[in-house]
Formats: sequence, C-alpha cells, structure tokens
Amino acid sequence: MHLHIPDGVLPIWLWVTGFIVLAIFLIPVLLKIRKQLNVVPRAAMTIALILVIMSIPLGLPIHLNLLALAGILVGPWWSLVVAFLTNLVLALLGHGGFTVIGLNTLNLWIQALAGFFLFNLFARLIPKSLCDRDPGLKGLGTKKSGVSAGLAAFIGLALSFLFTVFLIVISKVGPGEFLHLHEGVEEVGHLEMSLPTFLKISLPFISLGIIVESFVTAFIVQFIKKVKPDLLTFRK
Amino acid sequence: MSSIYLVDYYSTSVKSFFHATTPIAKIVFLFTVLFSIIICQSLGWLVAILFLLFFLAFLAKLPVFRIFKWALLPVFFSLFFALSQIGFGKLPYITIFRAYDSAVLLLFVAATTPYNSLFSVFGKISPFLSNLIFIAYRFLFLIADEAETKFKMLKIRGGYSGGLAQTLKNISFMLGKIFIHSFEKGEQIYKLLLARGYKGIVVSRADDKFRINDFILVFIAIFIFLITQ
Repeated sequence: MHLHIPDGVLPIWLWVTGFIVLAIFLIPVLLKIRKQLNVVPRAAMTIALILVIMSIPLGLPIHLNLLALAGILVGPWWSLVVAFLTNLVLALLGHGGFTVIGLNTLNLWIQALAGFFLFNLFARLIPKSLCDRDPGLKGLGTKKSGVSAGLAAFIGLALSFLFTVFLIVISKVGPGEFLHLHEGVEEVGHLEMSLPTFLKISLPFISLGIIVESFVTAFIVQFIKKVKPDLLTFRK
Repeated sequence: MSSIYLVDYYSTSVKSFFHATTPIAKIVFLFTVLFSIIICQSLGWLVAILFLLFFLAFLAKLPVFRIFKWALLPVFFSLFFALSQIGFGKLPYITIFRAYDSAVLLLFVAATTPYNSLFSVFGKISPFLSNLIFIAYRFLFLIADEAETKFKMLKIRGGYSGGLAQTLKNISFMLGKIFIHSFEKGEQIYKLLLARGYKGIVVSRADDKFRINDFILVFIAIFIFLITQ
C-alpha cells in the first residue's frame, strides 16, 4: 500500500523534476530491455495482475500494490516499466494524479527495487533452521523464501512512505513556495503543510497497509516457491 | 474492477460528439485543462470547472453520477494532504478540488476514447511501451474474470471462515495461483505471437485528421485556460 499523490498537491517544479528523474532512469532501461522480447508477456501479465489486484477493495479505500513481488518476478529494470505503465493506466482512471506519474512511478519503483535486491539478500542470509518442518517440503525452503519476501516488501513499503514524506518536506523549500492566493487575505505559502499532522493522519492507515501487504507478499512467494520455483529466479 | 470494465464499455460503445473527436484533440484538451486546474488558485473557478466537466460528460452521454462516484478515490488520498493544510485559509479546499477536478477530467477523456486509440497516440512517443501496455490491457479483463471466479470459489469452499490469519493466507495462495496461471498463459500467447512474426511491435493506427468537432474541443480547452487565469 502506498499513498497515491493526486494532482495539484505538489508544486510544478517538483513534479516536473519527477518526470526528468524518471526519464533519466527510464530511457537507459528501455534501451537495455527492448531486445528481451521473451520477458514482454511476463511484464504485461504483471501489469494486468497489479491493476486487477489494486482494484480489489479491502474495506477502506486502500488496496494492495504488490510491487515488491513484481520486482522479485520481473527484476529491477522491467519493474520500472511495470510501475510506470501501471501508474499511467491508473491515472487515466482518475486514480492517482497524471502530473505526478513521474513521482508516483519512482515511489513504486523503490518498492520493486527493495523487493528484488532484499529478497535475494535475505534468501542468502536467513538461516536454514527456518526451513519447513514438513518432510515433504524439506529442502525446498518455501518458508525461508516467504519470510525473505515479506521482510523485503515491508522495508520497501516503509522506504516508499519515507519517500512521500521526503517529497512533502522538500515541497516547502522549493521555488514555488510563495505563490499568492487571489482571495487570501494573508500571504500563505503555496504548499504549506503540517508534517506532524500529515504523519498523525496517514501513519495508522499506512502501517496497517504495510503489515497486510508484507504478509500477502510472503504467502504468495511461499506458494510460488512450492508450485513453480523457477518464477523466482529472475536474473538482471 | 467494474470501473475499468465500464470505462472501456463507454469509450467503445457510446456514440457522441466527444467520442467522434480524434485522440490528438483529446490529448490537447486533457493537457490544457489539466494545466489550468493545477495552476488555478481560485476555489470558485475550480468549482466552475467541475460543473463544466460534468456538463460535458452529460453531453457525451456518460453516466454523470458514476463518474462523480469513481472520482472520489483521489479525494480520499488528497484528504491526507488537505487535512495537514488546515489553518492555511482556503488551501485545503483548493487541494481537494484540484484532485477531484483532475480525476473527473481524466475519467471523461478515458470514457470517450477507445483504449487502442489512446495507446496509439502513446505509441508515437514509444512504440515499445505502447505495445506492452496494449498487451497488458487486452489481458486485464481476462485476468479480472479469472480472479473473480477464483475468489467466488474460495468463498464457497469456506476460504474466508478460518480467522484473519488463515483468510489472509488463503487469499494470498489464491493470488499466487492466479499469478502462475497468468504467466503460463502469457508464455502461450508469446509463442503464438512469435509464430505470427511478432518482433516487438503490435501495429495500431488511429484517425488523426482534424475535423470541426476537434477544433471545438480544443477551443473549449483554451477557453477554460483563459477564464481561469
């Protein structure tokens, strides 16, 4: 789960910078992956699956992302393309802003990068004592993979939320600060926002979302490891 | 999921003045009005743009109440930001209306433009990305149908009745199954595409010729931009 930043919240210079940073990463990535035609169906299916999963309601207007899982399944470079195209379709459906596609993509990519690199790191570091007690599954390491994926998703989602907080902090010090309101009596900063209030409001939702998504990612990876383990061995 | 289905249905099945405009005109309309909304600092004008967009949706034979309802999701996200702006005059309301106006605008454009036309415009920038999103969008509805059936099956078999932790595990395993099945299906489609000479591009063309209704749409966009500044 992450906060979709809507249109009109952040100053123009910040979301334009978001597009520039995205382009700096996306162009070389596209040049690198465009010949890997065999990954196209997997990446396309991942986009479609994420869009479907994002539209499964969880009671509140929050949803799962599973971008950490996407990172594990399609690798770090393809996951940037997956995050970008998912955000593009979502923006066209009024879900998340169009002008902030650059920043929202970078936000989701953080989860995917953490998913890929931390999953592989934890899978090596976590001791074998966490392996399954079920004799039929012994040696497969399904639980170990699940725990690695869950931890990777948790850290990725936490980093993603920190990125949103970082955007709010820097939006206050940017060049767009002192635009005046036409009707306003007082001169107020264009994007003045109270960070403590923001954290007070968003943290309960975000924490719940992060915990649920981490468990779901862990269980999905555990299942994939059991049924089709070769899907988890994507190479850069 | 129903919103994606219905937006797709309205864009392809409904016929109106706005559906007949070219995708290029709609993209110009989208960017001009979106920019007007983002730089508009007057609450009154933001409310006026909202009413104008609903009026255009009504003229385009779209269900205005459904669009009103679907566009509420970004309002929820904008609330996080707006509530932390309390004490800064009208700023919280401006933040909410900017998010809501933009969502209604994007839904209006998506519901009046068939997805292949929309992605073909995108293909002028990057054919590779356009191709990828084209394939993803085609499978979106198949996967959604499969997911719906599988979750119904899970419910019938008591998958939601074993406590919170077990339910979460059951749902996750079902999602894992959908992932595996979709990837297998993707592999099959890839082999079929290769057999048909696929080299990374699926060609899709849209009508680019400007007609009178395209000029009217662009004029509306420029009018909105000028009156709100």
